[in-house]
Amino acid sequence: MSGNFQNSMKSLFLLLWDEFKGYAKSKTIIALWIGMPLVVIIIHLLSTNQGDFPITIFSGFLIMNIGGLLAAVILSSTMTNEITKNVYAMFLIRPVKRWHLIISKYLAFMFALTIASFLSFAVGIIMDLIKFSDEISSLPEFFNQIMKMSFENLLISLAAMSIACAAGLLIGMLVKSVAMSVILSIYLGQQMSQLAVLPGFFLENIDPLYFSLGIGFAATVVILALGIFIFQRKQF
Amino acid sequence: MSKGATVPVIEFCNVSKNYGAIEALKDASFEINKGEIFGYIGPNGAGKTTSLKILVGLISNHRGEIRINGLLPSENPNINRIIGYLPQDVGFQEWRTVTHALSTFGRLSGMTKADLSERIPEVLANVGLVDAEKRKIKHLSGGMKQKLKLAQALLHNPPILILDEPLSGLDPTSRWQLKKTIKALSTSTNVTILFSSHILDDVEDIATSIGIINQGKLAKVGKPHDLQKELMGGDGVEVTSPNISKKLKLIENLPLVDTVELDKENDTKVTIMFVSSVNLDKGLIQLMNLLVTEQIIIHNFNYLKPSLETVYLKYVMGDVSE
Repeated sequence: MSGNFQNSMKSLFLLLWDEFKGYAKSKTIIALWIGMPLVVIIIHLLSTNQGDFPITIFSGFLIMNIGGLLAAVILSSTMTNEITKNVYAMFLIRPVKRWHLIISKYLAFMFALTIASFLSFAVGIIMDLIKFSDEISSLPEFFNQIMKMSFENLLISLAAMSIACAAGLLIGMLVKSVAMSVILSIYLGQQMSQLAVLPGFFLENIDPLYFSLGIGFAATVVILALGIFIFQRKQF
Repeated sequence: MSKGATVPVIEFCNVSKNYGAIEALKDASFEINKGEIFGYIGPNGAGKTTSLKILVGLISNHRGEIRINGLLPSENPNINRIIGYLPQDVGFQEWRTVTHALSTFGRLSGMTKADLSERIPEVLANVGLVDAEKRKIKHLSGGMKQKLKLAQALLHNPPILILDEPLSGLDPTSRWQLKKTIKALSTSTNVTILFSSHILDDVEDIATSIGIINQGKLAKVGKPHDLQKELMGGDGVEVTSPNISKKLKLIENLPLVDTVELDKENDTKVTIMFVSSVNLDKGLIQLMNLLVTEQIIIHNFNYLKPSLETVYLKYVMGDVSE
């Protein structure tokens, strides 16, 4: 039994690492890693009316919107494309569990997105340090504040993107055309990801961070479970 | 089962599968023993690919039972490690290089990195893809992708190979090479091979037993020679000789000869059928002895057998299918 569990975990880790390497080599993800921080810089430079609004906060909004949308679109189109081309048969004829394929795809993409988000926040923090350098009386205190804000924003963004990733996978499984998959991801995937963000800002007496994390986790689990249920029944 | 009897490597027992209202397989059954090369033939949509996908677990909701080495795959998920499968309609993640794809599949089949570093060049050489190891899959031709599919099936040295149309899309040299490889795997390492094909000449060249499937139903299973013999009603030879027509009575009187028939248009050509239950070799020895003793001059001597195509058409057209 423990041998089976070990083999199972080994194949999950192999798939996860393999998927991540695939994303790391793909131009889309490299564009995301470079593009998202770059967009933060460009929009900041183009926008003249920011006042004392920290760039870190702005980075958070940007990641939530662009990241969630891209996550849903990239994952759904990849999934539809690979199912249409019958790529998964090559994996499933080996001792690989079907849910491993879904979970590894989700985790690998989330990891790639986390790197992109981290880079964008890092750019935001550096730009804030430059922007507010004249007003900083105590650097450690300012740094602590900005780090706390960045960390919270990063977590909220990741919660939103997590829902978008799961939704992207589910849409990719259900739709047979890549174009339709992209259209549905744009309309549904991103909207669903906002579940983790918007209520927290509008409802009083709710900590937006805990709300986002809770909703993000619950919605991701439900959508992924539904996706796995469908994938288990797919005939290849 | 009698003591000492061997368990068939593949048992496909009364398997049925529906796609909605369409019956893709109807109570199909066959067994394949160790070291056999089983050629699975039938028209398009007959149920060949469905059968193979059921065997490797890609299709699960079917009726009937599958056993591999006597074990149920549903209870032994790791059984896939001893099977190499070449799918017909499958794609690769095209960003991978040939070596990277094989490495991933090998690791998932339980191979170590050390095993793979030795085995990948070996298997690429076997299938004729040596120069392509660093190439991205998206840059491979259709034939090269077919070779890569074969390479991934052979990679982990599986004792069972299930090949769905392995020869399609290959050039003549590669087809010849692959047929040689398949035969060698069966004879030298006792690998059990099940392969489907539309190309009857290829099946005739390499299969040691054959299953003919038509409209989801297994029309006939057997050794090629037995199927041909059954169709003919026994073994027979065709002899062309200038002086044989005078010796027909003597031939007819041979105990192992069933019938002797002189060609109506050519009185030098005779068809001799042996008693159906007899071993062909014994019948031939008896006949040859008579031909030599009676100094019958032989211009032509052919073993009579219908082509596999004739057998196939007979069963697929429904004349003799059970």
